[in-house]
Amino acid sequence: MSIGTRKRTLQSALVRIPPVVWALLAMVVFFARMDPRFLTLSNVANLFTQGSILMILCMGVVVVSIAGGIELSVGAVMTLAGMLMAWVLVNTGLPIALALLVPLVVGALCGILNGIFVARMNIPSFIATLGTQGMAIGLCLGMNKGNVIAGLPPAVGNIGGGSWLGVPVPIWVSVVAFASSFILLRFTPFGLYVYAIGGNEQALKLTGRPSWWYKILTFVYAGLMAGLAAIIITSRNMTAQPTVGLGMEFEAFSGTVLGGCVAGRGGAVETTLGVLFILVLRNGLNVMGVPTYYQLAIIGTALISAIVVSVVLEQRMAR
Amino acid sequence: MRIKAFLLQFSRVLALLVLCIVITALNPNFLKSSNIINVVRQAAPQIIMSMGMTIVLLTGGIDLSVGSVMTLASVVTGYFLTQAHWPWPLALAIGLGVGAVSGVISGLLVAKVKLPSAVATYGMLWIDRGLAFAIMGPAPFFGFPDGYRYIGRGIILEIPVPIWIMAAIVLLVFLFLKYTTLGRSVYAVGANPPAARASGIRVDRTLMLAFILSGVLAALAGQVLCARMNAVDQSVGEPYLLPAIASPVMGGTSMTGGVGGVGGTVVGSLIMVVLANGMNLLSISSLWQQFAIGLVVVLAVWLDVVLKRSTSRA
Repeated sequence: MSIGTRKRTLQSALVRIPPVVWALLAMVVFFARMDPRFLTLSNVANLFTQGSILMILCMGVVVVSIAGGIELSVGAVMTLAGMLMAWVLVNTGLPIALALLVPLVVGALCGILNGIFVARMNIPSFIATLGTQGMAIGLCLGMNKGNVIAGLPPAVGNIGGGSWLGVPVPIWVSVVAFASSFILLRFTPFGLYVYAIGGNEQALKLTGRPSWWYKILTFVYAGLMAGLAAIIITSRNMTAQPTVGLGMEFEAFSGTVLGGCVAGRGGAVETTLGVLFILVLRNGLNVMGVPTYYQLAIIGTALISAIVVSVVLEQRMAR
Repeated sequence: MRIKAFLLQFSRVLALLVLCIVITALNPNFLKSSNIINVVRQAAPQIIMSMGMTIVLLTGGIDLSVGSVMTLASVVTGYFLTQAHWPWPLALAIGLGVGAVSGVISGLLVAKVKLPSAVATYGMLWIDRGLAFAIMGPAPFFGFPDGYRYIGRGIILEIPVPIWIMAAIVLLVFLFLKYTTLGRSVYAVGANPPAARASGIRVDRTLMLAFILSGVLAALAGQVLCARMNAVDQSVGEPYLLPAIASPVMGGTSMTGGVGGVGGTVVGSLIMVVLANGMNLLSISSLWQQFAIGLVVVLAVWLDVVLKRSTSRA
């Protein structure tokens, strides 16, 4: 009998490992066999530095996803925040420390806008955030007539290009973002409400708590993370490009979905797995020298297939 | 109730008229017949695409892939016209076929896999965009044969061909939704899926059909546009997504399905195009127009939500 239980525990433990882990392992083995450069330390370090932006964005989006929303504006919001930060740095004499607050404020404001659209005006979240995306892209292109903003003070480069204890700053920031979302979702009352909104919003309302307020806060949190990502990407590139965030919202959205984070389920760890999946795929294609315009099609197909597989598996298990 | 519904419908026509009057007051060139024809011709691809979106919205879903389907279909047609030099009717048919295939996949994902339509079609958006990039590579296709360009540039009885095509599509979709069993089941599926299933409607098939029509119409919109421009690039369809959602919703087609129709979508589309044309005439930078469109989309959906709530309360 004890063997039976042990077998069952092992089985349930195997089942409980999200499918994305298997896909991840398979990909690592595949790419490592295709090209020995894939598993080198420099490539792995490169992967994590490049991926920090996506990681930070996902850490914000996951909170919205768990609360049952779809957030499609983070890429555009990050771009807008970066543009405004660069504009302030180049055109005003504001100290750098203060100027770094600008993208955070922009992100939070966009989050408030999304939150009001969704929680107070009852607009479906993907429409509201698509609208915000359109507005943000319009502002990015309109504010500098579609041009890049360059000529940032050199000191700014220390943020995105610097390192601390031998580890690049972007990686530190993504670790901080992870810790923040992990703690927020797991150990705070707010985290509990986020899961409650995604799981059963009516029940939360019946306890007398203002669920609309928490919903707005989830979008504000995603906006703040987009602002944080804007600081990293702008200081690393040392320019603000009006198209830098193009498509990032899709990768961020996919990262959370691949990690299994939908209404009421998932968490920061699961999202990290989803992010790793995307990063490994993209990096592997790069190492193999697949042209950029083929990569888009491959990544898109892989992502939608992975989503379909995980949804089908879940439906099987639920039965 | 009927009167109220009529007033609601009329209020959109009124909004269009007010918009036209304001723009005319600011720039009298708006009312020139050449500009009016220009406006309607510009509206043609958008209205054709919005017809498909209307059908999908009526089933209670949404198709976020229409912009990319338009791009992919145009790129494929462009490839067969300029790289493979196939006869243009064949290239055109292949383009429309691409739209249908993309619609089939979206439909399968929604009807069989039961993904939320926003998620499924958002995934298709990126697959189609990626494929368009992969087929085209870095350089755009241009220089189409004259027969093909006639679709976008020809004139019959002093009215451009795109307007004729648009009118035909609007009429067909109107008749389809109003007088065919399948058309009526589109409404039934959107209004109350369990009831539709219980009354013997094949919900899966209806959903599939809606997404296929949406894909084909998006592809057709691309053909009309590219035939006029005589070129196709990788971002041709991208700006059409938000207006394609906004037009039906502004025209009174509900986001929650089952309510709406063709007439409203045409008015909604015209509002969007007149707005863009007005901003052009008033020489507002096209870059700012994206901002305005984003705002209009959100406000239009909001109005839909508010109206829905006020009617359900009454």
